[in-house]
Amino acid sequence: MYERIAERSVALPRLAYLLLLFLGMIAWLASWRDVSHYVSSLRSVSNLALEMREIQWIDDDNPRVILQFRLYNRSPLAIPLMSYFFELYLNGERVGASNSSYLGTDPDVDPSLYSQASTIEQTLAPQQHLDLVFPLYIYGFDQSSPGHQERAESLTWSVQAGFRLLHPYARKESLVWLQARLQE
Amino acid sequence: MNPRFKQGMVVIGVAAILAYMGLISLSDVRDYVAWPLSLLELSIAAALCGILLAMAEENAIRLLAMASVLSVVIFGGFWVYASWALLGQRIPFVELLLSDLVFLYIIQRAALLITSSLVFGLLGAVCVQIFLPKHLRP
Repeated sequence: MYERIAERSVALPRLAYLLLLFLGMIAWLASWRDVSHYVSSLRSVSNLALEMREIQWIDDDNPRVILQFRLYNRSPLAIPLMSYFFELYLNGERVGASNSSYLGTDPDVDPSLYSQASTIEQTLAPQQHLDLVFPLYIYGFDQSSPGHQERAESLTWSVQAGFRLLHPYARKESLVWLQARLQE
Repeated sequence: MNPRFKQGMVVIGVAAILAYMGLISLSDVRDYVAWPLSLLELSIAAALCGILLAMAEENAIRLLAMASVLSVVIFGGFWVYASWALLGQRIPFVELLLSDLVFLYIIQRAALLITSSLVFGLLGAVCVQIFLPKHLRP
């Protein structure tokens, strides 16, 4: 019986020691992994970029534009997009807005491009881009239409877009604001 | 095995556990881990560390104090690394260390980490020294 007690008194500290070493090693690895995920996730979101590609006037009497912009994912991680909305500015004045749930159809817009752009909840693969094409009615047209302005005056279009997305490796959803400009 | 080396290893092990618990209880990081901890759970984990340490080593209280200080160093190291990586090395390293983002944050977390790990770790260690039969102690 005394031998058994003596055996236990040696085994218990050793067991506790080994358990602490094992848990400590797991904690080191887990810390490194979680911090790396945290850093790469925030970095990937900051590597999203927006480019305004084209603005095309359709009709001067019923003023509309077809707005094309492109969202780039320049990170090595896939980023799930939930939805987005944007506002269009002409020479600093807000002239229109739309969002990803807008389901209107316009005969002047390529339907395949539009369906791609308006699909809510899609994942933007690494080093890929998403083309967004939207028809927009322009209000405040009397002051801002090229038809009513001198052609020589330069037009600066800008778009401010908010993308609701999920951070990679996380359950965190956030709204990322991006801006793009186009000078005509 | 050299007892000093053994004690050093166990201090590093406990410090790593406490630092990890501190990291995953951070509001910034908790969305990125599977099991984020609250401050209460951090305290329970510290108490368990204290119990195991008291079962493994004789002078558990001294080792626990060393481990809790080292845990802040490890936690701070990870946080400095994360801040440095996220800022893209845009600001000098010394400025980063003295910025609110790192300096004040680490001081605040250090106080929390050391307090909870010391208080609850010591509680665990003392419980072992009171309740564990003498022949089972190290």
